[in-house]
Amino acid sequence: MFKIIHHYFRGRWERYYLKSHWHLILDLSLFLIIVILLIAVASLYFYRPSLPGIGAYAPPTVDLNNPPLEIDYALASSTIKIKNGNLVKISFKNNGTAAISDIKINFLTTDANFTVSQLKAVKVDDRLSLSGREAVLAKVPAGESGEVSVWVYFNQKNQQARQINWQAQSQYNMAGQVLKETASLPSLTVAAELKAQAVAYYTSPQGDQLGIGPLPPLVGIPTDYWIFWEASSVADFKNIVFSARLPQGVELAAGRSLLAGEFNYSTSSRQIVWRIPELQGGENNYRLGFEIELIPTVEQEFQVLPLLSDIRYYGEDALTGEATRAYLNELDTNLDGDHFNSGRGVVSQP
Amino acid sequence: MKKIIFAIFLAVLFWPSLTRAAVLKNTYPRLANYFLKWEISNAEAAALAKWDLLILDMETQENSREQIMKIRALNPRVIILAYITAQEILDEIDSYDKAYLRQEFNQGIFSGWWLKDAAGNRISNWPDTYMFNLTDGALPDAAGKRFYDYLPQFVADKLQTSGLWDGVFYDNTWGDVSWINSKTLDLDNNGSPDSQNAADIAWSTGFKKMLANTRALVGRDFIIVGNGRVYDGYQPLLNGMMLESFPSFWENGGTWTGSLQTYLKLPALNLSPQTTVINIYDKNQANYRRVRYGLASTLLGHGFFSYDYDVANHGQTWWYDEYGVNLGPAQSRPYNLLASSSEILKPGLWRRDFQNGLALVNSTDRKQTYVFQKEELEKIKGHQDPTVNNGQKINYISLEPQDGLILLKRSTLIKNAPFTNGYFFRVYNFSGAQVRNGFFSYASAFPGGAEVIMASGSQDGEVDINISAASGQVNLYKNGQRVSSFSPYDKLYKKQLSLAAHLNDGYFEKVVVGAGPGGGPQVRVFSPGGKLESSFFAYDKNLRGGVNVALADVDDDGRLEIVTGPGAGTEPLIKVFTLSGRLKNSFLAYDAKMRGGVNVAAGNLTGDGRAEIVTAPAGGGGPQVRVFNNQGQALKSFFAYDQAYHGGIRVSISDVDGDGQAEILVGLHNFY
Repeated sequence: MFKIIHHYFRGRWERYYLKSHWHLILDLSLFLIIVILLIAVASLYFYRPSLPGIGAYAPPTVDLNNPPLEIDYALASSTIKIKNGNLVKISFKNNGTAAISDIKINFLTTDANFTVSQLKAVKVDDRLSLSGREAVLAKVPAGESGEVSVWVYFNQKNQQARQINWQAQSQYNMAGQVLKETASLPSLTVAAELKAQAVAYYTSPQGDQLGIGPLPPLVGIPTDYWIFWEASSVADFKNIVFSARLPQGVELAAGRSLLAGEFNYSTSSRQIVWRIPELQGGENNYRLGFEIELIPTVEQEFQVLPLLSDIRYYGEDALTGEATRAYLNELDTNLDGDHFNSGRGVVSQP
Repeated sequence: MKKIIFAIFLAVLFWPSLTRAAVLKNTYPRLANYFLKWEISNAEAAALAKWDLLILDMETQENSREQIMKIRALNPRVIILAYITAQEILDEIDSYDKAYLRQEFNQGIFSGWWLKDAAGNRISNWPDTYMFNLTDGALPDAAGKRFYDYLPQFVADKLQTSGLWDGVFYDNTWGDVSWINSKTLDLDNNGSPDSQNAADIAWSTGFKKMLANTRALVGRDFIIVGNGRVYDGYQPLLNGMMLESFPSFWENGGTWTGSLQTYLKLPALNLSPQTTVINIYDKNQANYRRVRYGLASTLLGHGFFSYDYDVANHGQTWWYDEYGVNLGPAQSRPYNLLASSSEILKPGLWRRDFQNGLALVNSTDRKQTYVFQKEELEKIKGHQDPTVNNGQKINYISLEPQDGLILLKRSTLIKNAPFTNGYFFRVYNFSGAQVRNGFFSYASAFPGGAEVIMASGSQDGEVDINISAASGQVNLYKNGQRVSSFSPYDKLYKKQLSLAAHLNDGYFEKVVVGAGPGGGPQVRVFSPGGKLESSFFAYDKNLRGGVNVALADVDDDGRLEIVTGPGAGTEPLIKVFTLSGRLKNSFLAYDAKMRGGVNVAAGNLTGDGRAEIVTAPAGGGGPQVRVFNNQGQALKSFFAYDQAYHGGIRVSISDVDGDGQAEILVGLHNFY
């Protein structure tokens, strides 16, 4: 065999190559091409993406029933407060033999009541980048797994809607194909917002004199103000409790106006409590008004005095059981909510 | 003899018609007008009809009879006294026009009746007048009569018989006379001056005879009021005195305290009805402080207050903001806030309480500040002195010296009409003017947001009757105890109810209920015990906006009608039904496109006995209140709150300030 090959190349040497070295160059070039083609054919045949010197390559098919990338989603809570968003943990595993890059995950709602507004990372993670409603995993090497967490925030288009139906769509490229997968996510129940306000008036927003006595307050002369608490929500609530404390020098006066619930005052603790067993969503009849009386002392001259302190409220979403606890700003004689008398709170001498 | 008997018979027969027994109103302030023009114009008559007591010159009997009749027609309870001087007459009276009665009076004057000095000169105390001698020293005429006989006879014969007068006003009822001419008076006509003491004794004795003669002739019911420094000896014969130019220098030391002591003691001395008048004159019509001072001082007692121009010109119809206030009956004696434990009358900050308010007088010479403990009062909403009568709610006052103030008590609960418990209500009169400060009508005995009617009566002793409707149930209470309870619809119906009831001295005779929003427009009529008497749909029974109800006699047929306003979802068609549900009338209260529902109320706002219908958008429309008569004719329309407010309002009709005139109450549940 060797003799044959030797004989063959000797004949060509003598007949062509000695006459013109361009023949030799031509033959060597053709040989190199043949070798390359053979290696390529072999690589494709064996589908070894990591063949040395060739680089990655894709097999000709992908099993869609068993894609190489597994993604799972876990929600921190099945109920959310719309302004707080929900924490989603994304677990992933590359079961394939090749790294997967640029994995895009989109969070979408399935009806018009809500839309996903934005995503926020829990912490800085090189693997994860966020853009609008899209999370992108940069690269998952073959055989590797991991998890990332993102906060998903929503816009509420329909204030009456309480359930968020949504899904996650993942997408990546492999073997020249775009692989998409849609995962339905557990519905979220939106915990309703309990709106509360406390305001002090001497004159109502419509211009009616409610309070009585000198304004600004005068030393030794009582000035009566009206305090209003109001609770409202688009959804039903239960066990709502407002409470506050009367500062020293402020006393509960006789005037009262209660549209719902029960009013109590403890003279020992000086605490005012308003309880509403049930609040019907969408109704605006949950309002308490009560009159308080301030008699400034000489020592309080030149001061703006507190009228109501430690104002807090609590309520439970009747649907989700989610509790709301919050504080409201202290009210004082400057009457920030009274646009007729705001700023007239400094005590002076008669 | 037969003629005499017949004359006596006629006199007995007609006596009651000649002398009306005047009945004083028991509410304050009591107002007097000292109006001494000899003629009264129609315009003046109309204006004078607003006063409670008029002192008119006797010449108006001849010159302005029609005007006096007009005054009586406009004010049937007015007391009118005929003015006549008790001790003098104008000189040359025959030269005066329109002086018919004085001229007639003058014709009967005997020359021996003039008051003279020792030189025989007639005595004058007032320009162009000469005085009479009221003593026994005056010479008798041919019939043996003296002036103290003649004057009463004239009053009885010429004034009382006219039928126009409730009494006579004797000007210058002095208890002495020596102050006029202390050295030369000759009352006994002996040509020698009388001693000062003898003159005064003779004068008071004679004057008293004149008053006694008058009383004997005119009878017990004919009012006699005197004017001048108060002389106690006359008072049992009089119904009162005028304290002119209060506090006058001549009265009891010339101080406010002295005059008030006199004023307050008179009721114990005078005959009933007691008609003492405090008069103040000031050329400045706008001296409101003086008006307040005088009026508030007057309110410390039972008398009448009068304010006019001058001692020589009493003839004004000046009306002040305080005059229009109805304080109601008095509820206390006057007391000094600066010395509450003492009843001694002295300069102070004096207060007297009335059913609907109070009067304050600062009779000291310094400004007084006072804080009302646990009291909320309201200033008058006036237009003459807005720095004082600005309508504000107050709990303290700073009152200038020699000033007075009328303050109103505040009502914070609607009585005798339905209201939503806890709503804020503004108070409007029929014309749409806001007459009092708004308030939260809230009764803690009932749930917030419940429909409530609170009433009281006295048929079986004092009782408080309340009715509430909430969560689909109606409850009736008597003196705080629940006496009846029923579900006007299905027991499962737990929604709001519209409520109306007919009240009769604290009793609910009929209870009318309408379903609230979410229910059908079904109206049901119940007895107070909860027995269903009738039921009907006021609108399409498929509607679910409920129906609002009111109950009153809107067509003056002596029977109650049910007025309905639709709930949300249909045009604002007001309907009037009989109690059995027969439609009597209907009309659109607002534009047909306004479909937010209409709240209704019905009650007599004009005092004509016929109820008006008041409507208000229950939601969706601006806060426009409209007043209709039974025929759907719009009588008034006004915006009760900011026009931009579209949250719905409700209406009710009740006399919240106790002035006898119902007001329109417009409520809203929240300010926001």
